[in-house]
Formats: sequence, structure tokens, C-alpha cells
Amino acid sequence: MESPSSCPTPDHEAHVSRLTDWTFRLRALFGRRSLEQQIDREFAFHVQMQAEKLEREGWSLDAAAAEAVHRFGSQTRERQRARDSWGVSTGYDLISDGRHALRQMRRRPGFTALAVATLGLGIGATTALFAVVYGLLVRPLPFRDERLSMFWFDYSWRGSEYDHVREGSLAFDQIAAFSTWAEAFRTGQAEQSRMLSYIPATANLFDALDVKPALGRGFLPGEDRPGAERVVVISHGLWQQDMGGAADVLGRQLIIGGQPVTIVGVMPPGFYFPTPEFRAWRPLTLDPADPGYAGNGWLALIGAGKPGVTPAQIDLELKRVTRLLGERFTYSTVWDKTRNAHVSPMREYLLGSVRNPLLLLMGAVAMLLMIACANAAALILARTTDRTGELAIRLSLGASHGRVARQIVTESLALAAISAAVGAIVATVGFRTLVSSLPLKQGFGAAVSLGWQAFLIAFFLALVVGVGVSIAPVRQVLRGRLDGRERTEEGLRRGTRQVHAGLIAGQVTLAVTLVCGATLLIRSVERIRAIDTGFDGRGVVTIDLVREPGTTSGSDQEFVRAVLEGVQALPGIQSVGVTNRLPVRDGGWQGSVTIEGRPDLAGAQRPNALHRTATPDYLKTLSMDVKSGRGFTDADRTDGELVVLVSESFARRIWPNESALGKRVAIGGTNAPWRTIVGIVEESRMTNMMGDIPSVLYLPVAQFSGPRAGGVLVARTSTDQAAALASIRDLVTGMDRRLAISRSTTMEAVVNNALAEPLRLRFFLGLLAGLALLLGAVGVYGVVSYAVARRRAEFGIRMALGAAPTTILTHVVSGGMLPVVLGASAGIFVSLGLSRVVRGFLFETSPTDALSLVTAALTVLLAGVFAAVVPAWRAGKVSPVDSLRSV
Amino acid sequence: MSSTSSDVVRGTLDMLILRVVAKDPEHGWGICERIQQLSRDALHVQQGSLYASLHRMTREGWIRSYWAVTANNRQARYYEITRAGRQQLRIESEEWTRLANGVALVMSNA
Repeated sequence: MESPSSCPTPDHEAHVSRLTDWTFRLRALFGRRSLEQQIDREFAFHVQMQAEKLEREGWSLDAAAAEAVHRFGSQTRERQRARDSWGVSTGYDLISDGRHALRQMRRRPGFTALAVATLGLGIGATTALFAVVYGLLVRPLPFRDERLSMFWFDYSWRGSEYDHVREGSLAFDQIAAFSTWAEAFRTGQAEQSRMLSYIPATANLFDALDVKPALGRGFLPGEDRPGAERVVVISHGLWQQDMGGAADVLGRQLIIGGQPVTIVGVMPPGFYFPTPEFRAWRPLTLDPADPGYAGNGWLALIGAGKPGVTPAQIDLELKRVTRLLGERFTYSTVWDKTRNAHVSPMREYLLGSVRNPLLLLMGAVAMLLMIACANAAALILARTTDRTGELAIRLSLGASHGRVARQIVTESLALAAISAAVGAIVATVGFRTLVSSLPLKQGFGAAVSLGWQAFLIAFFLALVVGVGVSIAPVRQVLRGRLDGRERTEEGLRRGTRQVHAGLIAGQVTLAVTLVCGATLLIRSVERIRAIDTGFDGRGVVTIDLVREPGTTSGSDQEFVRAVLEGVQALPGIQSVGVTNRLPVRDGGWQGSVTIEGRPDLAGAQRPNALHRTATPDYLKTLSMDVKSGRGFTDADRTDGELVVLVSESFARRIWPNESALGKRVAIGGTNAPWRTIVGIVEESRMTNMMGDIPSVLYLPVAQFSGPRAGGVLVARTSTDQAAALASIRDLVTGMDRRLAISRSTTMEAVVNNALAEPLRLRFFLGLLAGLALLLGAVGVYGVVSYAVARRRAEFGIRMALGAAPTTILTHVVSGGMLPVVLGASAGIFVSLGLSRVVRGFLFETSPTDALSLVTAALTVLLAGVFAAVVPAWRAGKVSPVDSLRSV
Repeated sequence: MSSTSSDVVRGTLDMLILRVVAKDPEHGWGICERIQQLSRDALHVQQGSLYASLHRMTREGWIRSYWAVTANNRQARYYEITRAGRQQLRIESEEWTRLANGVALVMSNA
């Protein structure tokens, strides 16, 4: 209705209530049927009133009714005009386009399922991975993030060193020290003890982290000095889960390691430091009178940089620190803190190991999504070209090019929207699996979640995908190529063919790259699998035991002996042993070794070795051989001769030309006693699967009285491992209520966990590569099928003129394979270009490994040939008569 | 869209409708009749096109509608003016007066 609205006053807009306008429009859009019924009723009322008036003026009943209808004018047109005045016709067009799109999809269920499945998978995988990346790499850490640095030689600083360097820093506001510890704890006298992993730290830890407890206080200055009251700050989780969120938590006591400790603070929810597995923070005690103060290093140092501090200033500061250290302490070469001084940003230190695999996977998933998009674009383009007739009719009936283009975009968007829904489901289902499969440090899995940001990304991806895949067909429409007259022109087909060839080549390039990456990882994992760990974990179960000191069931030594006897007597147990650190899982506990009569290996030249304790049957339980000499026996006790076993590499390194047996070594401080080497133990993996094999010293549990960090029990069983674990758990907890157990598992699981990162990466990349291969093949198949279908008539004529079916087949396959071959070659180059990216993930495998490259390219080529042959073979079977008839 | 200028002076239909419903709520038919009556049959609203205006003005928020029973016990849709509508009516009346005066001046002095 132009006339009334054609004279709006200048401030017309000001009087339009936006809200009224939009609520009206929304109502019109969604309550369309009711509005239209109202219009009909309104019109009917009007006509009736008019008729009655005419009757009163003397018209006959029928004539009045007819005249009233006539005077009203075209009801259809008025209805349309009323509808137009609602300002929602674009919305109606969209809805009708959407309905049309859905009808189109239903008509081609195969096409739709394929496109939705591929796009959904791509969107879902990207969404889930994004959520992980966001949670770990983007979201801020729950403490001062910037300017917080980890010092070199983590968990290796002595209290004396820390005290020497902590003050007077020009670059750092605070330098704090902390370590990790686990002890048995309970909330009350009657409770069963459980394991508590916590952080002993200097009193300024929370200042350095720049966080405050949600309840109570942090540490007071001086609480890390001898004589201070024993206090603890607990995590929100510990408060809620283990203490039921008790309101009077402050001032209550926890029994940690047998000692009552007062709770003075509760941290806010979501806080963790350094990782979520640690649930409490206690002041450590820096006591120069304690032999541990200047003993083995166990602390990690963090520095909170002053505002605006530059890397150059930090370098200067590190020079100052190393000079201070060099003046005061003497270091062995391998343990020299005055060399290689550096700090790493906290985030990098904590998450650096996760970042690269995550980004690698993210890249791989992005490639898969691109392949899926190329696929969908090719399918939509083919379909649009096939619908030239339909679109041409619509154009000739007066639809604008823009309107037709909009319809194509709507169809693509509808497809993308459904794919996004599928993707959201894929992401939700796959997220936890993904998180549990990533090599995350303990506890971080729980710290990431699939938030709304992820779904926003899914939605955004769908939008981009929807618009992206419709570019090619829309371009054709806008060029006017779908005009009825041009329908048969070669140009259209050639255009489609070129775009198709480009899409296929792109897909194949990405597929080859993914398959190549997966092949490299598979070969790398084969190499890792072939590593000889030096022990046999099959049939071995393991469990951590931490005992609360000062309980009734005797000394630690007696307790260990009782546990060994008890477990040995259980059915199905072949042998059992205890150590302080489990191979390929636990690190730490290493130090320098003094060799008797070797001044050349004194001072800075002292060798370094891992310190591992063992009971007599420990080595036997893990099937580790004593190569010469003897193992430990029950006679190796505190009252006997002090003995030690060394690993082969240690023996070879120190005594290359003579036997190590009978030589004497000392560990620990200057007055440490000499221990006689009585045996040489087979080389084995200790702290990890892939690094250098370290030197190891084994000490009898009975002769070792280091700090108590609990023991690890290993038992070889001939029966079911789960049942054996259960009976061991029952036995040991029954022996001592003040014993906390944790990490009961099988040795095979421990080994697999040590291999987790490469195994998982291989799994994911393998999966992505498999999908890429499948999608690539589907793409080739679809495009070749389409080309064949378009050229049925041509083939018919050729065959009628005497071409052999094999000629047609060769022709089609070679035509279809050209972009595949191009793409595969490009893929090899891309893989070579990306070799630097994957190098860090490979073990003893070259990233330019020719076999992997060739395998990848050939696999994709084969898939391509197969995908092209099927439709080509069908083309060769076409009866000339049929194909000509179908023109 | 065809113009209704032969019946109602171009651009004044909104103002006329607002003026009618400013007094009392009225249904579409009644509005046609009132305009005809008040103008002593000088103005004829083309009946069908009235509704497009009514719906657009509802969307603008100048009037709102509700269903009610007429004196003859029939269901009819009534339109009533809103505050925004009264303001709009004032603006359009002023504009109209200015325009009409202008035309009158030209016609009487030329």
C-alpha cells in the first residue's frame, strides 16, 4: 500500500516502536495461519455488512451479495497486500525456500545422507577439538598467568639454594618454591585413610600466584620456618567432596601423614596449581638444621615477574642467580645449575606437551572438514547443473537471478544446519572420548568442558560451510548461465567440469597429506612397540601404598615384610616385591654418586643415577635379570653389610675395563656410608619409553631410610589380574586402617599409558586419514558418475559408431583420474612441506620417509581408480539405443 | 500497487483512519462508513485497500486491534488508537493543515 505511506512525516521513524514492530513481525512469521484466518473473517464481515446495507437500499438478496463482493475488489489481492504490509515476505520466502530445500533433500536421500554425514563429522570433530583447545590453550589459568615463570631444573632445587637466591631480585616480585607430595590423610579418627596429593610450598606461594583463598587466609610469612604451626589450605573440591562442604571448615583439622593439621583456608572453585590433581597446599619447612635442607634437590622454583619486566632484564637476573649459586655451591657436571639457566612461561611449562599434539590434530581435522566441504560443494554443483531445467523454468517464470541464487544458498544452508545438528551430537558424544584419549596431565581432563562457545563455533562453521559450498553453483546462476537457451551449451558443462576437477584435486591433496601423516605415525609406533623395556609386565599387577607413620602395626620395615608375606600367600601369586618408583611411570629420585677411590669422578665429575629401592623378589617379579653377581636376599638388612646393585650401563660407564662387583659407592651427603656393589642388573626403561636409558642404583628396601614417599607393590600373578588386585587391596587395608592405597592397575596398562601419546595420535590420525580416504573416494566416484551421466548420449553414439566398451572405460577413467593424479602429486609436496611439523611426533622415523609418502600417494590413487572405474564400467555397459533414447 | 487517489486524497488515508478511531474503537467496515458519512459522501475509501493500511498501521504501533461483538451480535475486529497513534495523528493533522492552507493561498491569490 503505497499511498498512505508515501507521505511520512520527517520524524516518522521516531514514532515507530521497534519492539511493537518486531513482535508483530515475529507473530506474523510464526502465527501466519491464525493471522490469515483473521483476515478472512474480517473480509467476510465487511462484505456481509456491505450486502446488508445494499439490501436496505433495496437491492435483492442475491444482487446485494454479488455487488458487495464486487465492490470489495479482489480479496486475493487485498489479502496479499495486507500480508505484504506485515513486512515479513522475505521471511515467508525463506520458509518456503527452506521447505523446498527439505523436499529436495528427501528426494535424494543418498546424496543428503552422504553430505550430512561428511559435513556433520567434520563439524563435530572440529567442535570437540576446539572445545579442548579452548579449555587448555585459550582460557586463562586459574592463577596469575602472565609474568609467571618456571625456573630451570624443576623439582631439583635444595632448600639451601632457594634461600640463597630468593631475596634481592630485580626482575621478580616473588620467587616461590614448591614441590609435590602424597601422603595418607583422613578427616577424622574413625575414617579410613586415603591418599592426598598436595603441594608443599614456601609461604609466599599465593602471593606469587596472585590468588586469595575464597575462605580464610593463605600462608603467613614465616609459616615456612621451623616451629610454625602446622596449617593447610584446601581446594574447593576437597572441602565439598571430602568434608561435605562443612560450614565450620576453618579451624578444623585434617590428619595428614599421622599429624593433625589445621585448615586455615579454602581456595575458590576451579582453582588449581600446578595441576588439578593436587588438592591441598601446605607450607614446607626450610630449616637449615635439617639435613634435607642441603641434601637432595626436590623443589621447583617459580618467579612472578615485576610489571613491565623485559626478557633482557630476566636474563640479567638469571646471570645474577647463577653467579650467586656458583659462588656458594659446587655442582657435578650433569647437575650444574649454573649452566643453561632459563625460565619458561608457566602456561608453556604446564601445557607445552599438550599444545603440539592438539594443534596437529586441529590441523588434521581442519583438513578433513575442508575435504568434506569440497565433497559437498561438488555434489551441490552437480545437482544444480542437473537442475538447470527446473531453474531455467523458474527464471523464465519471472524469478530473479538473485532469488534463484538465494534458493541455492538456502538449500546449502539447510544442509549445513542439519550437518551442524549432527555435528553437535558427534561433538557431545565424542568429547569425553577425545578428552580421555588425549595425553593430558592428570586432572586436566576434568578442567575442560564442552561449553556454549563450542556450539557457537559449530554454528559458525555451518554458516561458513553453507555459504562456501554454494559459491560455485551460485556463480553459475549469477552469470546467467542457467538461462534456458544456454542450457545445452558446452560452456556450462566445461565450467562445471573445471570446478569439479579443482575440487577433486584439492580433496586428493589433503587426503594424501593426512594418509601420509598417519602412515608416518604408524611406522613410528611400530618402532616404539619394538623397544625392549628390559622388564616383562605381562601378568604383573601394581598398587601404591602409603602408610601413616606412627601407627600400631610396627615399623615400616616390619610392615613391608608382613605385606610381602601376606601377599605371597594369596592364591595365584607367584612373586611379589616393593620398590619406591615404578618403571616407565614414576620419575624423580635421582642424585649424584660418589665412587670410592676415584678422585677423577669426584666433585663436579660425579656421575648421576636414579635411586630405586627393591625387596629381594622385586627384580624377579618384573622378570629383570641379574646379569652377574647376586640379587638382594633377606639377609641384606641394616645389621648386615650395606649393598647395592647397579645397572649395566652404569657399570660399563664407570668401570669400562673391569668388573664393577665388589666396588664401593656412596649416595647422599658427604658422610654417607659406602655400599658394596654385589650385582649388575639388566638394562631397563625407567622414567619413560623413548628417552635415553638412565643409569640406576638399586638399594635394598631394608637398608634404605630416605624420606617416606610411599612404596609401590608389584606382584606377578597366574590368575585373573583384577581378582588378584582386589584380594591384595583387601589384605593390605585389613592389615592397617591407616594405610592409603591408590593407582591399583596392571603393569601392561602402565606401559600402554607411557606410550599413550604416540598411540593416541596414531589412532586419531589413522581415523582421520581413513575418513579422508573414504571421502576422497566418494568425491571421485560422485564426480566421475556425474560426468558419465552427462555424457551418456555421447557414449551411446560412440559405441553405435563402433567404439569398444573398454575404450569408453579407459577414456572415462583417464579423464576422471587426471585431477586425482595432480592432487596426489601436490599431496606429496604438501607432505614434504609439512615434514617439519610432524618431525617432533616421530620416533626413529624420518618425516620424509619415502615409503610412507609413496604408500600414501598410492593408497589414494588406488582408491581414486576404484572410485572412477565403477561408474566408468557402467558407462561401458550402456546400451547405445537406451542412451540415445534418453537424450 | 494502485493508488486510491480518486477516492481519498493521496496520502491522507492514515490520517483519516486515525481521526475516526481516535474517537471510538471501530471495525473496518465502520471506518469506511464513518469517513463516507463525515465527508458527506465526498470521500470513498476503496474498501479492500483499507485493510492493508490498517495492518500496516497496526505494525507501526499506531493502532491495535481486538475482536469483539457488534450491536448486531456479530464477531468483528475493532481497531483502537494508541498513544503513538495520537501523536502521529497530531503530526499528520498539522502537516495537512499547513498543506491545505498553502493550497488555499495559492488558489485564492493567483
